Amino acid sequence: MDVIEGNTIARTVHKLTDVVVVGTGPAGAAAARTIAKAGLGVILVDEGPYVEPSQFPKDGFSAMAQMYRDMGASLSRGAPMMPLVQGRVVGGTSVVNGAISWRLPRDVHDEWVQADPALADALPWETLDSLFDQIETDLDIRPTEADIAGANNLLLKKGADALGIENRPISRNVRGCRGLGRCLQGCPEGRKNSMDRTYLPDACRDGAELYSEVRIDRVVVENGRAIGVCGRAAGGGKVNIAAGKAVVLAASAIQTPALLQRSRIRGGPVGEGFQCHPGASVSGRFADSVRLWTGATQGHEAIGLRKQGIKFEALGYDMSLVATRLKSVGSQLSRDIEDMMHHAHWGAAIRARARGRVRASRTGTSVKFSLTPEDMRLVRRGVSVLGQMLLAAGADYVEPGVHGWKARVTDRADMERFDAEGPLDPRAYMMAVTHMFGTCAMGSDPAKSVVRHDFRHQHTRNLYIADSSVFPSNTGVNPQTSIIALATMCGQRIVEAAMR
Amino acid sequence: MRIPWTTTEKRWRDSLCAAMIPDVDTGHLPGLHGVNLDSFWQEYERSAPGLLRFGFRAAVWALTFAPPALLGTVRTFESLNAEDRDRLLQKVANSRFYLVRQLPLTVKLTACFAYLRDDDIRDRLDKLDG
Repeated sequence: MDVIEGNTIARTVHKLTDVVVVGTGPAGAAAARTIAKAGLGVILVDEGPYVEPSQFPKDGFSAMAQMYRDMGASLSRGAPMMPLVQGRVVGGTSVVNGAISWRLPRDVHDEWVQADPALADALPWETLDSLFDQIETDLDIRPTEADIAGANNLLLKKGADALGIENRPISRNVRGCRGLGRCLQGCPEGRKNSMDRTYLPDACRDGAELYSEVRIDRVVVENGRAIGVCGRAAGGGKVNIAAGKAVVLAASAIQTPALLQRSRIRGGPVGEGFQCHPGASVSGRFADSVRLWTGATQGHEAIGLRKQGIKFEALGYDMSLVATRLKSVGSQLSRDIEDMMHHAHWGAAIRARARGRVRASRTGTSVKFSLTPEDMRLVRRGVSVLGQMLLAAGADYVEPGVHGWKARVTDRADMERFDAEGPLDPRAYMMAVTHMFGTCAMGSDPAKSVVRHDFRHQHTRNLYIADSSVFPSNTGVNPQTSIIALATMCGQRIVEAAMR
Repeated sequence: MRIPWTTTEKRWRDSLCAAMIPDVDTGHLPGLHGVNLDSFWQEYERSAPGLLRFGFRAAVWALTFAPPALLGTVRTFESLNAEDRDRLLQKVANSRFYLVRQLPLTVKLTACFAYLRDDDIRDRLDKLDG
């Protein structure tokens, strides 16, 4: 795949194309692939660098410095403050995620249609279902095999089985995974079917051009019609791209509304309605070695409480990230690091009902988001069940990591009790945010939504949004497959409009 | 804007990071002070976002001057003995105040990243049989 690297662009560049796509993650890649396949000219632009798999760093710090937005350290404002984890690399978060692939659950689709009946025609379930089939074929999505899963995943199965919680190997978009445990740093063997390995090369084969390290500052609008984008390359040159048919924003549920705001494209609740999946994690110490930095990074999940809004996953990390998640400091931390090959680490992702908002700020973006008391009850239940599963799987002790609660728990009854008696103060927990949605929601009412049912901006012609900003709500499951499906539909709508 | 660390600040920073992962009697792995961090600090300064760098620096200052308030001794963190350094970090980490608890967390995050970026430490840790 040919990538024009922004660090080589020192002078002003003017380009003309049919469609410009901002962002090369699952949304941008899927939309661009669909549009390029139809024969339209496409230019893709990403702020992040293009990194070959052989160059993916081994350690967590270097990977985060190179391929994560703000090193994974941008924080939401609210209670609690939580890191917002997003990739910033060609291929987007698909390069550095756990490769977890879920279809949009039917019950979530039903909720969307119930809230806006017109979505039954705009996003028909049958169409989505056949897109999911296609995506699963394209990306080799299949359940994690036990022989590469590793102890961290297999223990989760054991714990969930013991508690009678429905569980299964995670379906992932990988081909020939050897269980190196490096998904979050990017697979060094290129065995993850992330967008840089799949849909982006497809789009480029169909004639799309791809620019890395170019930050788009503004969408240019003339007479109510988007006509292009302006940005700056890492090499210092300006990049102006005129697009005759469409401007597609696919920069994530944080960056897309911020770009609209910077471009002064008003209309509808831009940046409002931010939703996400906050996650809390618990570790447990086992007598046998676990080495959670080996095996499938995320290979097993417990889904029995999904409809309550909680999903459990094994979390494999680089050893540097495992160490940061140990609860101790000082000499105890040194001892715990030496012992950390015995730790299993699992997380609970919460389908939070809270809604926040995104604003473009002087320094970038600002996300305001606070969990509701109802969300906190789910977090507490999640931690309780994680602790019980770890102990049921044979952990010597678990570390809930909740301020004001026992640092180490050996008795399952204590973790059961936690569900009723654990703190509900969000600041007692350490959480992180993944999966973001809803900041340019799709809908019928221009006052309450930002894009129409054909993904076009309510008030600006030729401007489309393809990423999870348009989702009416969060999904409660990993959204990559759903994002690809909706972005493909967005691409189809653009092609239809262009051919008219 | 990047304001370079002064030599004194670097000393405070290094003593805090070293205290976060000190040598311990088990002897399987050296503490953080036994690891060359020059390239780490270069990459950190180049790559870490402003807010993170600011938070880390603020934590270094706050913890350096925390002993009078927390241990009742008019000394800086750097001049404490190993036992008191450990005691102070424990105290701050278990503070009932949320923002105070974030101070050692910020240092821990940086120290762990620095420590486990070192290939030798990683290899030795991976070979420990526990």
